[in-house]
Amino acid sequence: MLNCKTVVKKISSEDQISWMQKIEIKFHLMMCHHCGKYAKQLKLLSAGLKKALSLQNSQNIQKIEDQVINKIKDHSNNKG
Amino acid sequence: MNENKEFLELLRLKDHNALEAIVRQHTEHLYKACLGMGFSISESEDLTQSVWMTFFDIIHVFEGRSTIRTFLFGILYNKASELRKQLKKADATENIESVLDAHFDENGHWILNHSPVSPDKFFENTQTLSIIGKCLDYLPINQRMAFVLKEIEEEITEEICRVLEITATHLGVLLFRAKNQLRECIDQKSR
Repeated sequence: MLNCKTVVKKISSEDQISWMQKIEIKFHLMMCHHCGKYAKQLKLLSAGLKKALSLQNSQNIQKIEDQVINKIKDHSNNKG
Repeated sequence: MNENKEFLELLRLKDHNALEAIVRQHTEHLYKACLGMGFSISESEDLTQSVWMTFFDIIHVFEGRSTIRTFLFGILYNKASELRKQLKKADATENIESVLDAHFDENGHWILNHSPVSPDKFFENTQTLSIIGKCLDYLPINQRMAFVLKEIEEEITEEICRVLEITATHLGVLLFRAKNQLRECIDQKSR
């Protein structure tokens, strides 16, 4: 039987795990409330950050694009 | 796309249409990667601009062996490391493996008040850039860059390794540390 510590290390590492272990872990996550929360938190990390970033307004991004384009155009005009 | 020799030549000549196309294609990704690494809005704007300036300065040495995107992220990685040094912030010194271990008793069971907080509150905090930014601040730049490229940009392993100049094994270690350190920090702030 896997204990919580092992499960947490397995689900948070990028290592390949065997088919059999995957089932064992899935079973553990269903039974164990704490590890279930841990697994969910790990998943939420990238989802949350992605959502936060998607709320960035596109006007700001366009402003940066325009500034960059103008700067480089100026730069090449001055040189040439 | 657009990455044939003629297009590169146009970029080298600073052809206005070509440079406009390339800047509009990649700026959003660069800017969001900066924010995703925990830099402030103004730092992110400056970083993004400075990546483009360097890109056009050194485009004559770009041989097209990697994609333009990878090349840009490589420049960003260097700039971000430099900025981090200038800001003289200290990276987390505690080892995430031992932090993790501290949550469990000798039988590998959770110690009760060390168990994870409920995901609802946790999720709320991951969506707040200022909170996640503070947590990211403890991570070394290579961990943040690895995390952002993998989780936000959904870049393939091979390209991330190229940007960071590391092996796939090392990347696995960086991602493990980044994710767990971040989880740990946000969990603490959600209590």
